[in-house]
Amino acid sequence: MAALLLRRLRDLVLILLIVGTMMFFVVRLMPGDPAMAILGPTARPQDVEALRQSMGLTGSLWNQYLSWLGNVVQGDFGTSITYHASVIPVVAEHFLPTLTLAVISTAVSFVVAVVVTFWNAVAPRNPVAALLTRLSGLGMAIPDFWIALILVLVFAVTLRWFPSSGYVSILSDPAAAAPTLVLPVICLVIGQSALFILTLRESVLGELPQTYLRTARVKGLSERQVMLGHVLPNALMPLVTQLGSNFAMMMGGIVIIESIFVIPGLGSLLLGAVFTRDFPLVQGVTLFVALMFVLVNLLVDLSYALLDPKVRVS
Amino acid sequence: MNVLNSRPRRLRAGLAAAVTAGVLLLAGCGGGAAPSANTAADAGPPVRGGNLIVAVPTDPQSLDMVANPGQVTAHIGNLLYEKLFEVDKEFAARPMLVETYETSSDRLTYTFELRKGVTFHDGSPLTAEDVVASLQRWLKSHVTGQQVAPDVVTLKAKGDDTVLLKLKEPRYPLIDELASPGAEIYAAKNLEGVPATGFTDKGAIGTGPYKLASWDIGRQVVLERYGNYKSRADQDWGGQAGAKQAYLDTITYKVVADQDALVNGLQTGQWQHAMPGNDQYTALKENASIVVGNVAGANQNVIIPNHAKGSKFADVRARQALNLLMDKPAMNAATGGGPDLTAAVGAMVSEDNPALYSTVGDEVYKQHDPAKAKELFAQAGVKAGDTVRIVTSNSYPQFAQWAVLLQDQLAQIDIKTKIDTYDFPTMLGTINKDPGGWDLTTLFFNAALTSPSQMPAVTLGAFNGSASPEIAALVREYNAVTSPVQAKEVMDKLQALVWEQLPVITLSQSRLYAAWSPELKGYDGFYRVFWNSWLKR
Repeated sequence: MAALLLRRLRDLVLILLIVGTMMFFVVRLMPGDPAMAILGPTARPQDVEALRQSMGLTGSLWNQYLSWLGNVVQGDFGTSITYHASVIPVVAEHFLPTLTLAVISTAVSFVVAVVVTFWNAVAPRNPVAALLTRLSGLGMAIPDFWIALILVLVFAVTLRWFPSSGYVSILSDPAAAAPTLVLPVICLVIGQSALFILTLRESVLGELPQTYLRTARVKGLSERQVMLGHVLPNALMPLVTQLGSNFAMMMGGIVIIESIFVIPGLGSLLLGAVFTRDFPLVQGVTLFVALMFVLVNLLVDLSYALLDPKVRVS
Repeated sequence: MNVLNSRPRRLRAGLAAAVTAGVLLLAGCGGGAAPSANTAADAGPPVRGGNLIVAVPTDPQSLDMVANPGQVTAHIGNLLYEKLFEVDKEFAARPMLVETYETSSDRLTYTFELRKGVTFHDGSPLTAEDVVASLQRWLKSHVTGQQVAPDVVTLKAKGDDTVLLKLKEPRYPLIDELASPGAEIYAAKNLEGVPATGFTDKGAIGTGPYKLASWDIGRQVVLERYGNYKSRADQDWGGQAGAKQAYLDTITYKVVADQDALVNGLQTGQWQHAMPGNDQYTALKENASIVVGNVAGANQNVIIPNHAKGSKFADVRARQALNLLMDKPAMNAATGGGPDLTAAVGAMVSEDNPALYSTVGDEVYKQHDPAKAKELFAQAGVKAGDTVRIVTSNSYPQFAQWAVLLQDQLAQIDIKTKIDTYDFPTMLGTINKDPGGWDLTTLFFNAALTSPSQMPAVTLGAFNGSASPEIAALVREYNAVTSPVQAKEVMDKLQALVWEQLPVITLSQSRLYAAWSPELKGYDGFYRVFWNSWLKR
């Protein structure tokens, strides 16, 4: 386990270095000058140049890169051009909304997938369970922005059960945050749980013919005990992989959902930073998202060891 | 006030900062026509208290009005800061921080006496040194101040309450320019060492009726009543001038980029004020539970021909041909909002400012003669089969639509086009990188201006090579006038010259509008200014 952790930490440093370097050069190759974008078409050339200089965008690209790298190694990711603040607090500010949505929607989707799949496995003739499983294909097919617009129209504008948009930090005021989270979480859960159901169903169907289940039944275990005690742990591996990958994707921002529900998350932050050519912020968000990907994958790997004794042994 | 305000569709969030900042020419604000629902007798007496929630399309990103000319920054800044003079609802400058002022007989020396007892939000008193430091920064770094700077000989404090400003030449619009955005007065101590990118929220301290309470980046800015605010004793002149009463306890500016979310939030009462895009106008107008009305000023929608060497429009005849060719009504239809929001005029300044509004040259604006256009193009050396390069942006859908309509109209006289569509910063960067590499581009500018030196026709020279000695001479002539009548005459001449030389070709003026809850009373349709406004529950 310790070796795995050390290996992953080494990979983490390498990945961040590669991603950071790539992003540094990619954003500077993008057409569009942040100083010109801020000052506009009527600005005097000398003012554009002065602003460019104060943003650290003059000098050779190589010198800029070395300077940036040196600062990053010391924990200084630069100052956002648009927010006039250090990149780390700006990213942190936008991380919590995205994390909240990702954690809640992933957890709910996981529970929904496990319940529906095993309900269907234990009671294959139950029409509701069968219908829910079949609807999962539809859930994956419907775009989340469409679901979002319908939910807003029905539950916010017409019925007024939930706010149409907005964000309250779950840490500062959980009671006020709950209503604002309901609709965006439902949007994310519909597509995500559908994917999880299909993944888990395939996995469960693969486990059902296994002979160890016959042994379990012969030992006198009930069908529920067989499913929860034996099928579930073995069938969870592909789902955990899927879950990790989905979660990491969401960490990169759920741009459309954030936009529709006016949630100040990482996706909208990155989008705005790209459009305003806020180079330090683009690099900061990208590095942060890369970090999240690596950490989530590490957690997934560790969870394999917890779920499967064979992995622990190997 | 700042320009770009139509926030047409989704995903306009990140763009807004770049675009507003990019296209802005700053000027004063004026009062627009407020709908009767808001000024009706049922408003009753003002009510003190409450939190007004205002939806804004982007985070202000900076509250420094010199460094960031964006619309949201300006609108919030109007409540935080004050200038020596402020514009009333007709863009006329009226004293704000100035108690009295004198002009010498040669019109070269101005002596400003400051109002006594005015304090900044941190409690420190307003002094002449603060005014000098703020105006020196304005003269150096703000686009309007930079136009004024060459005429300024000295700017100095005389005691705590007197400021002396000496000019090289008389400058008729000086007071109007001191009332334009960017000339706000900050505490001198907060301006020390401020970089070109502007001060942080710690520097957002002014003398206005509201002070900054909190700023959650990307989410909301909260202002709270400044208890020690000293209002002028005179009446409320509308706009930003006169007495200011802070009835509301707090004003929360929530960042709502998505247009659907903006409208839904208005309908469900999540916020009480918004300035949605043109596409939402009709639906909101039909909603009886929301008040909709024009706000001050307008945008000037323009096609910008490149005057630089290498452009097809370096020759004035090509620009005149383009003006003749353009089917402006069809192009204006693409701007959205219908006739309520689009005025088919060629004026450079909003009609809310009667002192500068001029429709001279509208006969040129209204010309449409494709056959004659073809002849003129040929005389200018633009022949059938030639390709016109249009650089435009999809950040604002109307820009790209205008480009496509231009393409169609040019095709009718056998001129080909190549349209390059970018996001806004890329569009600006592309134009800036290769001054001769483009022929036409699309923009809109603030038309709520207080002097000719803020007009794109005057300030766009470095961008499209349109600087002209004749226009510069008329600006000087305007600066030398001594009366409003003379000023109007020069303004008419300037407007006529613009239609002759065509530094830009105006398509129309877009009126701005706001939608707000009937609970909001006292609001006079002046952008997002909410002193003298209250909530009636």
